[in-house]
Amino acid sequence: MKKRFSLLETAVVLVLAIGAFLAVFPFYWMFSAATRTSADVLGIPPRIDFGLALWQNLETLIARGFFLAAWNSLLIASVTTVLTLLVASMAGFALTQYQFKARENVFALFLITLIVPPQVTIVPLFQLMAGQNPFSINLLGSPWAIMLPALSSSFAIFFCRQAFQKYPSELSDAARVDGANEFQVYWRIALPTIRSSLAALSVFVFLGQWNSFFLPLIMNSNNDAGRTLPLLISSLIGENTIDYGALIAGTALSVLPVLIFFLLAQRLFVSGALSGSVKG
Amino acid sequence: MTSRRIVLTPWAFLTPALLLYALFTVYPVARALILSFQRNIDGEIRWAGVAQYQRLLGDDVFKQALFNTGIFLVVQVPIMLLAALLIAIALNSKRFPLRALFRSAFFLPSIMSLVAVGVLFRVLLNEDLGLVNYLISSLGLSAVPWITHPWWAKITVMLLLTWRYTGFMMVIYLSGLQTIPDELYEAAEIDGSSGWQSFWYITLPLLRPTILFTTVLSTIGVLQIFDEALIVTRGGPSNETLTIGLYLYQTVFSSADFHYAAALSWVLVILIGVLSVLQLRLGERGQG
Repeated sequence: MKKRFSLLETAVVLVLAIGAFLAVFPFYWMFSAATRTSADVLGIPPRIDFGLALWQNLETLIARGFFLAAWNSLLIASVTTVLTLLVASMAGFALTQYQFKARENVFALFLITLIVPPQVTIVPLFQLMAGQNPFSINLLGSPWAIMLPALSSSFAIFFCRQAFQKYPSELSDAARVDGANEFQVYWRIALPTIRSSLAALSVFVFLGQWNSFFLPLIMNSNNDAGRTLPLLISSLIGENTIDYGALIAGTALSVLPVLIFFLLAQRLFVSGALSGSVKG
Repeated sequence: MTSRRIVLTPWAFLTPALLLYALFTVYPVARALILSFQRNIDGEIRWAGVAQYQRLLGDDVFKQALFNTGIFLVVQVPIMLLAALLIAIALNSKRFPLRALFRSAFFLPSIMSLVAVGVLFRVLLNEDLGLVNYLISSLGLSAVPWITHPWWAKITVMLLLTWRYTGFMMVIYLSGLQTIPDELYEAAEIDGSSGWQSFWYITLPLLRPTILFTTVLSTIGVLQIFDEALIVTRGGPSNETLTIGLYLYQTVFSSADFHYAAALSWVLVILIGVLSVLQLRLGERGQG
């Protein structure tokens, strides 16, 4: 027997409907504005329909180096994701599959750094990347200056440790009996069992890098060719006469892959897979 | 021989992670601390004791940034967390229509990069030509100076944060709510407890760890505000939305004062550490 909605319940549904509209509307506005001319993005009366200027906006964007920035973003996010998964899964494997004295201390070290604000590492990292290292290598403007510091992800190690805790170690023992070495046990036997966790993790690491702004801004302030998408967008908004059509089109294109990821893997995001893993 | 191999194996697996941590986390954090106790006199690095920290105490711009961050913390975080909790409770009810769709809709803003959010807010809240002010004026109200008025600019930043993060916090609350067994509510209902009583005596106490977690998470987040403030307000008008992160950035890139920036960044570490521990302590004490 289904009760009818009370007045209060109807009000709650109504308020949440307004809230949900406010959450989603800027997405609609962004994609529609991407197809309008600069004057129709900002103008009185404002328009909210789709326009015909998408191609024109794209041309402006391409002239400002859109493809290069998109490629840089893709490259940096992909390489960072693969390397982070490798490093973190090895650490997670070590922290769950072996008994050794310092195990909890090592894990605690990773945990503490979870709350270290990235801002505190910025000055020394900048100096390090600017050539103040034993090899005097100047990495500023190179993708490595952005990728290397991003690889030490406590969150990813935490996530992999959680995933490996459910792994039955009998599988490793069986493989050892068959003559596998420890790396083979990790790579061939253990890693495939946490495939779905790794897939989830890779989505979060990739998106984190794709959206990242602070570190790229610091490490790439002097090299236009090394710009990522967020840097390109922020440079467009800094121009004297802002081309709003191109600005919004670029913003929309930077959000589009993330949105597609989200629509394909909605349950992953909304089920709290991320939050659960942070909480432990 | 065998036991020795077993002892070394985990370290071999940990080596890449530890190496990366040593180079790109532990070293920079320690180095920043050292830098903060030095000063640069015409290219010559000298020890300076706590001079940089003393400078901070007398720096009005720093105080302004601290004050702004404090406002964001005290006003925005509670409002956002309360809203997220109420939305989560409503969407946890099986009676709510289309609740999967609603959850996705509320979560959607948190996938957008802060730079993109900043761009959208800056254009939508444009004072003369933006959509929001157009709607406000068409209601017969006067246009709001979203970016140029000291207090409205703060409100703009807080609106942006609320738009971006409420859905994310809601998802965390939802996963917390799902660990509370339905039987508890059913038993309470049989005993004649009202919905309000169930919320007060069952939901809130059992959700305490989750609430604590989101509070710590939001506090750390607010203390680090950077991208969105840089894009929307550039810290203005006259430093009214300047955050510690923005000030740090300006100190590094406009004045190239690395030692002062290092001291600033360590104050941020200490603030985050103290506030986190304080909140965790308060949360635990309330539990006992």
